[in-house]
Amino acid sequence: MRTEMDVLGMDERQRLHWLEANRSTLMLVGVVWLLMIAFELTEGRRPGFLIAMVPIFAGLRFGFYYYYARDRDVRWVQPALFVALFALGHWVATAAAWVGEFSTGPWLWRAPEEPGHTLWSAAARVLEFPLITLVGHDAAGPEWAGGLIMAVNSLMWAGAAFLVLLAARTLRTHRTAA
Amino acid sequence: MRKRGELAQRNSVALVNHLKQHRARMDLTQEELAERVGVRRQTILAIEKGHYVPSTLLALLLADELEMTVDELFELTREEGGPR
Repeated sequence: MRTEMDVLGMDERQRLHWLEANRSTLMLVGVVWLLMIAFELTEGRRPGFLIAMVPIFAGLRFGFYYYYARDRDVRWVQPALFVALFALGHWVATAAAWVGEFSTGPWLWRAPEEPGHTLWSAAARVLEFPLITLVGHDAAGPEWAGGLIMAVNSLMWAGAAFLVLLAARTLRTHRTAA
Repeated sequence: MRKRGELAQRNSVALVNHLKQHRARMDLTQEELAERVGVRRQTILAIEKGHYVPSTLLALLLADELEMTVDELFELTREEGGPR
C-alpha cells in the first residue's frame, strides 16, 4: 500500500520520526478530546458521544496494532474488527438517526434540533431493520428497552456481517484453489 | 544525545559505528554517501552521531558503498557483567 510517506519520499529515519510525530499528534488530540469532555460537563451537558468514543478509539488502536504487528495469532483480528466496525457503525448510525427523529423527545439526553426530519426518519427506518421494524419502539417506553433492542439489532447485523465475511473467504479460497 | 535503545539496554550492549572514519577514507561527503544509498544527508549524520540505528538493508548498502562488511562498519560492544 502506498502511503503518504512514500509520496513525501521519506527515507527510513524520516519515516520513524514521522510515526513519532503521529503519536505525539494523537496524544495531543487525546488531551483536547478530554478537555472537550470536561468542558461539556462544566456546561452541564452530557457528552455521550465524546465519552463513548474513548474506549472505541482505544479498542481500534489495539485492533490495528495486532493486525499490523502480527506478533500474535491474529487470525481473529480481521473478522473481529469487521464485525465490531459493522455492529458499531450500525449502532452509531441508528443512534444518530434516533437523535434526529426524537430530538424533541426524551431520547439520547439533550439532542440538538433535528436538521431534517425526513432524512433522519428514512435513515432510522433502514437502520432499525429488521428487529426494531418488527418489534416497533415506543418513545414513551423505558429507555433501557429501546437500547436493548438496538443492541440486539446491532448483534444481528454483526452476525450478518460475519456470514458475509465467511462467504467471501470461502469464495476466495475456492478461487485460489482453482 | 538520545538514550540507548531498549534492546541494547536489555542486553547490556552498545552499538558503535565507524561510518565517519570509513566515509572519510573513501573521500566521500555525507551528501554523496547519502545520495548513493538513497537516504537524506541528515540520516547519515544521525547514524554517525549514533542517534539513529539503520535498518539491515541500509547497513548492508552503506557497507557495500564503503567496500567493507557490516561487521567492520558496526561493532557491538558488550558491557561488563552483562548477559551473553
